Amino acid sequence: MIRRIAVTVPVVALLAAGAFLSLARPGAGAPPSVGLIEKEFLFTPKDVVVGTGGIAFVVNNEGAIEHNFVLEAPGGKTVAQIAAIEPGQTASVTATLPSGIYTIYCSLPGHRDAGMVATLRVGP
Amino acid sequence: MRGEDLLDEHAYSQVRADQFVHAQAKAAGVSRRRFLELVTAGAGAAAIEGLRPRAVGAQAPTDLVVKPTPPEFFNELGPNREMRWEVMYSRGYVVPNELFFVRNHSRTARLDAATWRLRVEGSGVSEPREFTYEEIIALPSVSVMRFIECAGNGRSFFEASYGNKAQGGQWKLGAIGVAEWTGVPLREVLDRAGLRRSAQDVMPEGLDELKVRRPMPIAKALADDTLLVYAMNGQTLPMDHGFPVRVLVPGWIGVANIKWVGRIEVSDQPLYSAWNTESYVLIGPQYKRNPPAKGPALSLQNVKSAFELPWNGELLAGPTLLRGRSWSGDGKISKVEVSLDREITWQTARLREPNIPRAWVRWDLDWDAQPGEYSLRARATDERGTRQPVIVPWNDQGYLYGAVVKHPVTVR
Repeated sequence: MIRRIAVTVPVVALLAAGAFLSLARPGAGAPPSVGLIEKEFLFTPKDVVVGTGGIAFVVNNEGAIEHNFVLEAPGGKTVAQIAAIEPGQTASVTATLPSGIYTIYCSLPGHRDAGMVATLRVGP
Repeated sequence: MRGEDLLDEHAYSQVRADQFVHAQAKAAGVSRRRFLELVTAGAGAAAIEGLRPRAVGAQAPTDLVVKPTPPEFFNELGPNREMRWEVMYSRGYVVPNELFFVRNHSRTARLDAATWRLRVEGSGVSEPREFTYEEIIALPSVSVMRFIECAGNGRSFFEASYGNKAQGGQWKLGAIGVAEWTGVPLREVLDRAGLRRSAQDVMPEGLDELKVRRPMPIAKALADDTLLVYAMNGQTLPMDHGFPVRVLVPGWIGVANIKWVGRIEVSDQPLYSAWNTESYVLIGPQYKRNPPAKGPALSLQNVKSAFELPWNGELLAGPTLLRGRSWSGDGKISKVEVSLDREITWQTARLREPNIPRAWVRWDLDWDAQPGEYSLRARATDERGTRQPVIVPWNDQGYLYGAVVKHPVTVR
């Protein structure tokens, strides 16, 4: 599981510890990244806290079936999405986010209700 | 098998016993190799029986499908298994259970009939109640031959027509099978729960991880051949096909035939789920939104045909009998035409009985095959006069590809 996370070591350590914050600054100019793992039927981690600004979401499907990634703003508007992530694949999307509590989920029928939902808290 | 004289009663009994124990071992998830080890070790049937309680649990929960799906029988498409059409050449009318395609939205559910319950409830019934497995199989039953076909069967051909892949598993034509389904008419169960005259929609729900559910109108739920199925081709319904009980909704898209059913909601209001608003709806330039659905919801399957040949396969030159099958969600097939010359000419194929509505018809055509590359075509017409078209409108999720398919074959 750890070897396939496409983020830097501190992030991996945090994820492995079940922590909520998975931020890294891979280099000057690049936005910090959040690593998320999808499986049937959950996101890991389920709670993510980040600072405002540009964030790269790196989403790894470690499950056996297809999933996707939707990031929904507090008002319900979709602000970022990845249409499909095949099993074993990693995909990423970047969004610039103001403060608020966002929802991350997989929008394939039934997947959100089955547990594929996470909370993203964006603060200064 | 193994050279015994099967006219000798003792030898015959022994072979039967061996077969029985082997079948039990297989059902308990013991490999043939392990079974032989157990037999050699003298463990025999008792050892197999000892393994049985763990059989379901022993199956790694990450296994998507329970039954063996070797590549000579199936194409693997993620969690799904597509039947290879060449395996049906010269076979009978039904698809044997071990060759039947598997389309799951998640993993095959592993359920215990002893603890399984079916709950019937909602505003459309006056006496909501539960049924046990024993109660279900004690009700009046019927057996029918019908197809079950994934709504996305043929999806891969959208790419050839439009240059873009439609979303979803890239099936050719093997996401269909015909079986003899045995079960209780759904209306028998609804009646016993006090079906109200005001009932409008009936929504079966699966006990799989996603609780897949999709409604049908009361008229369809009360049809003679809409069943709660517990046997398939004379055998207990296999796990991958919905054990202990699944729904059969003849002619409708596969997802309506809910596997592992555990609850049925009967409502005096229209019902919706993600499976008739988000998916299994037609989304594309030629389709309008139909709130709360993103497009027209699918119900009936359309007309399709398939050759009982490998895809991109080879045939030996000389007289051969081309075989295939055609089907429609809307009734019997009345005519099948085959073109061997890229639709310049069409020949009428011979239809072979039985020709059962909402199942399929087998057909054949003599062909003196000469060496070369061919693109075989078959087009069927159903009893309502609907003929397979040259092209079908695009939809994003790639449903209902009912156009004539170009089947590549090389003759050597």
